[in-house]
Amino acid sequence: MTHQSARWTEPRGENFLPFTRHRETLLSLADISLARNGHSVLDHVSFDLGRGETLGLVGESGAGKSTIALVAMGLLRPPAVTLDGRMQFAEHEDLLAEPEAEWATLRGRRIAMIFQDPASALNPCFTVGRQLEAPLRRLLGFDRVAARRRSIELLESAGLNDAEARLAAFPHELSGGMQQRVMIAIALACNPELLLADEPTSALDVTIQAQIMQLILEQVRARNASCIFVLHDLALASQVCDRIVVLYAGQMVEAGPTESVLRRSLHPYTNALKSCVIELDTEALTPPEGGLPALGAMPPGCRFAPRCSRATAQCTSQTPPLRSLEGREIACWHPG
Amino acid sequence: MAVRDLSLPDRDALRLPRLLADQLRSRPFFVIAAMVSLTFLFAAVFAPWVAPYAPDFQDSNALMAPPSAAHWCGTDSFGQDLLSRVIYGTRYVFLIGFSSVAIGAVGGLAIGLAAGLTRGAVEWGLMRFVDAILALPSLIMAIAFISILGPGVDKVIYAVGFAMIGPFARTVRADVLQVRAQAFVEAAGLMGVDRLRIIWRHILPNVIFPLAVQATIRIAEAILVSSALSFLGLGVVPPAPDWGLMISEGRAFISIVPWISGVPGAALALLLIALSIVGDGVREQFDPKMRTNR
Amino acid sequence: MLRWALAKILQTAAVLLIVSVASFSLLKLAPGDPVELMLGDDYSKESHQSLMIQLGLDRPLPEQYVDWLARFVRGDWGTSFVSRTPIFQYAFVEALPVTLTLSAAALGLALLIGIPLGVLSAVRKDSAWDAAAAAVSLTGSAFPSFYLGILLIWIFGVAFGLFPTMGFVAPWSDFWAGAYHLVLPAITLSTPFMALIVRITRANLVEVLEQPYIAAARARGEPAWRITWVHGMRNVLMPLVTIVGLQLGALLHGAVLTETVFSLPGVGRMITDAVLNREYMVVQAGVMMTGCLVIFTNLAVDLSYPVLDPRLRPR
Repeated sequence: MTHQSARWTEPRGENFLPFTRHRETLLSLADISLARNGHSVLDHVSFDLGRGETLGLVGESGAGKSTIALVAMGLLRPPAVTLDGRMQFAEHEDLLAEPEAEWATLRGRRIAMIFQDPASALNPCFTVGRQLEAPLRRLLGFDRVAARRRSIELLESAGLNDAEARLAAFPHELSGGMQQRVMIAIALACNPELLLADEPTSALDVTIQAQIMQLILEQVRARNASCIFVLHDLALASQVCDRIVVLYAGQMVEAGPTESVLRRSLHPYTNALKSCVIELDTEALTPPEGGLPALGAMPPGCRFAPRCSRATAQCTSQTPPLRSLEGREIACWHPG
Repeated sequence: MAVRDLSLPDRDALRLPRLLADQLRSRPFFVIAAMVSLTFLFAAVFAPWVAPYAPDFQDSNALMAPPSAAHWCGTDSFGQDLLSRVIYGTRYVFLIGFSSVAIGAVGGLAIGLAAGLTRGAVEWGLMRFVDAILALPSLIMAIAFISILGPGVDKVIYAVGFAMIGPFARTVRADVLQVRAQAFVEAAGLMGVDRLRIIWRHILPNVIFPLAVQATIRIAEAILVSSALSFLGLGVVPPAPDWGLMISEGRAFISIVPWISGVPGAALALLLIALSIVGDGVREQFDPKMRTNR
Repeated sequence: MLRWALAKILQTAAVLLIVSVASFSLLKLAPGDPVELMLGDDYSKESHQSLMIQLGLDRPLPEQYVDWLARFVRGDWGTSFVSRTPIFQYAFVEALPVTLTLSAAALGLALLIGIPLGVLSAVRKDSAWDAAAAAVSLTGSAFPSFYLGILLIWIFGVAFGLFPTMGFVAPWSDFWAGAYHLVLPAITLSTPFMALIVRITRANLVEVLEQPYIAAARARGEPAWRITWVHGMRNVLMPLVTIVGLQLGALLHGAVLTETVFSLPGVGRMITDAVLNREYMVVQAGVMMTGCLVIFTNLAVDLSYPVLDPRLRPR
């Protein structure tokens, strides 16, 4: 972990909506496995997301977090990759099996996405207005005038002043923070039920990161939408997510309500991630040495075993199953 | 141990065929194209031994004869064996191709280096000079030179060579600028290392190699332009067995004896396609800038 | 912005100057005495002398150059001593439109067919179709165009008798007859160009389609055809225009050969005949015309960049 943008803070109750188990499930991923060119990228990833809930996918870059977001968006589909498992979204029982035409009714309309680098996620050849009005007109059937009026409202609510002039601007004429505000406005234009935010602030200046995070949370809550944050920053995740899912090399290692997972982490990898943030002296925590295994050379058993101090023969031969323990799910032979 | 000793000579003997087989599997088109090009080169070098007839031998019993056992590719309107003429023609093709590319590369290196190493007005002027060369299509430029020099093999070499200076100069300059911007060259300059020494030790080695790659790629272009000149009647003079000339001679008979222009035309097309595949392969292998695109 | 455009125009002017000096020197370097060529075999020393003075050949070279350039700009390009007509009429009014018509037809054909094929290749990257298109475009770009022309004449003109194999009918006087006569020449000239456009379109579109803004557009629910043709191709436009502009020279180069193969009275045929007839003033006119054409196209391409790519516009 190279970024240590935010200081570790203990999760505080008022920072996030209280987690309730009785929420209606909006999205459910079950045993999602994905392989590209025969190399396993995701291995049996399963989690649920309730309506209005925010969930953080946390892990090192290359852990497969963004891949999950792209799968949920329907942007990574066979035959480009091999994909197994089941994805339930609202009334769609098995979306992965449904044809492109079905996805087309969801993308941008009910599931939307914010990308990591707004500078490259906005088409450089089209004005902000064109890119913002397109989904309004095509997906919601707005006419030119209504789309324009709505665009201005959206830009204003995304915190851009002088919105009318911004519509005529090209992406490169805006600062990084403004570009990301535009991306947020575009993503939320159709009031989606699910927002996927892929590292929405890591390409931005530290000073703007908090504002952008705040904006996303506000907008999502105002719409009672669910949100999946893809983050490498555990401290940030602890502040914005109701629940977190920690991933390592395409496998889920620990998942549960943010507070219980972080207050007392049971998986050695989660501990290691925490140690990247916490100032070291209290506990004998060591940051993870080495790096993620290469895509073609996934170790058998627990993929974290080669870097784990607790690894035993069992770890390197058998994949630990995901099981419930102390209010979270965990995949480790030696939790604690 | 004994087993290994025994296997060693075996492996050595197998090395070349195995290398070829490996290459054939990974890049079949490149290997086939390279073999085709080498066959043409072989034909050029050993023409008197390979060709069944002399290029100017006229068989008065077989005027415009269709392909037969005596004349595998038929004969032209003078009764000359087309296969033999095509084989002898490869000598002109490669002589003109290699020599004119050499002229273009050397001229381009000189101008490109000068333009890349100077600054201000001199560089500006040199670049406009290169632009001016590039403004004229290579064939029209070559025609203009031919109009001054007159026809003939040597004249074609000069004309095509001069016409190719422009593109070479531009790539050399781009390479020089890139090398010059690199830290080690700037550092050498700051340390007060002699200018000529910097050029010799740092810049030239980094420019020569891409230039050689460029040269392989442009041989096909030189061959195309020179045979086009001959086709227009402005290049090699008859009765030389030049392919472009032969294609042009056969045009008049296209409706009755298509093979007169067909045989040299097919040879030219085959060689150019082979050379361009080889050129693409060489570029992919050595030019890091090209590796991103297919 | 204005300064940038001015610098570009200044560069263009310098290049034009160099090309004109080169064209002028062509006449000076050409073998033989121009006066002798004009007078024919039988002449007196006095008439030779008087013609020298009349043509200004006794004056210093720079003076002659300025004089020549001034006359050239005014359209006074001298008189052909073969056809006894003004060269301007012959070269600019008669030959140039033929070459431009042929080139435009070939360019249009190449774009019309090359772009969709390139797009298809890029969208179905690494499919059998893509491999086939790559093989065909490699063959097309390496194939000698003059031999291709002869093959087409043999197949479509002689064997099937489908299309005329020679001659030019001005499409502006009789469009259909003109188009009919242009079919084979245009195919011949456009083939290498089409191959190039397929390659360029494919390579650039493949790269563009991997950009995050394409994924973002898909995430916004843009349909597939809009992703490719609007979001993708809009960003391919600039490299495409650059290559097409830069390759105009190659197009003219091919036009020279195509005109000879199909007996079209264009600039290429004109230059070839002029070299054979030792009419250096006509060669000079041809060189100047092609040079200017390429230079002005390059300028137009350069000046179009800010239009094509908003990032190059002034802030």
